[in-house]
Amino acid sequence: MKCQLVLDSYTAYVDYELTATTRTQIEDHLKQCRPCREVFQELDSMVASLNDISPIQTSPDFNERLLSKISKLNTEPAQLPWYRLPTVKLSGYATAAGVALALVFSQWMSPPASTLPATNSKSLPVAGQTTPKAVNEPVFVSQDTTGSGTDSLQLHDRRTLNPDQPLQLVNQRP
Amino acid sequence: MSGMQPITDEQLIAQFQAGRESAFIELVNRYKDRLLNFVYRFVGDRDEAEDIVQDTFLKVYKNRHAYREVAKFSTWIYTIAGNLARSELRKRRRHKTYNMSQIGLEDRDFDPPDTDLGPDSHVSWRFEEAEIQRAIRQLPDQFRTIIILRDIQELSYEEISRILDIPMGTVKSRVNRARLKMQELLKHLKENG
Repeated sequence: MKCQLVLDSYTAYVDYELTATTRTQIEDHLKQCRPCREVFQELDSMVASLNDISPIQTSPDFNERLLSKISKLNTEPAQLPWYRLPTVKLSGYATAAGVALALVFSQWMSPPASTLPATNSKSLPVAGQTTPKAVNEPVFVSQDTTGSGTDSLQLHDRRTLNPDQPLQLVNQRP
Repeated sequence: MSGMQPITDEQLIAQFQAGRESAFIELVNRYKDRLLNFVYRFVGDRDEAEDIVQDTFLKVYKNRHAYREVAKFSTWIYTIAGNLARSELRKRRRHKTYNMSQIGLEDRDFDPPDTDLGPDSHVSWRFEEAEIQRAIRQLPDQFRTIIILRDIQELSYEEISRILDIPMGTVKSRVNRARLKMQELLKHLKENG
């Protein structure tokens, strides 16, 4: 039996997974081959040393610290450095930058504002603020249409309202 | 109630995916020490190993819906922990802050190697944990993992096969090759101090 084959059989030998014949062949080889015998002995010592290593345990506050990290996860938005942002987000920013550039460019190319018809402001409404130019903007008012006493949000056309009247949440409950 | 089967890891993760957070805690309790011992042999520093195990569970928590029961839960979690440990080692190599004193354990003196091997002398090596730790870190990744699982954590071939998702025959042959490689490394360490 060749040395390499004997060495390759070490684990199977110690696990008693070899046939009686192969086992005998290995033992005969070991009796005659000192280098292989030494390697087997070293392997025995090594495996025993590895088995003897005492396991370590997590610290007593392991779970507590983990749960604290988890609760932070649940409350804080994930903030990634720019280089870790997913590709899809980067491409989203690139698209947004492209759109912004296109808008700037179209401003240069467009005729003077005085020749264009007035456009509506697209800014979002803010509670308590009036937006006199936005006369065509729809607004949400609270209205109880079911008589159940619960409010429901309904879309109204602002044109039906006085444009000078401050925007307010209207509860039409009787 | 003697025939009652203990709840499996896969059942626990399914419960967690369905919103039962206590199932996650049960998984943490089942795996935290096993993973700590596994990761510790990779990185050699206890605190760092514990941080990596915490990160492993955070990943499991965040990505719980990414787990599909095509693989064993143990395969999944050991893979996460192993990847985090490897990435930590890579980070250290990149930053060139890798030295023995930082890894821990290595600041102990080694026993002088036993060189008195006469013709009939019986080889009786004793290995300090520090030597073992040093040799383990020099092993190629796949050998290191298998040595930790088989010879330190003393898992069965079947468990290792499940964790690494490789056939049992591959596990056995890899264990043998890993042992031979480790023995070479230890011999080298003994001979060169």
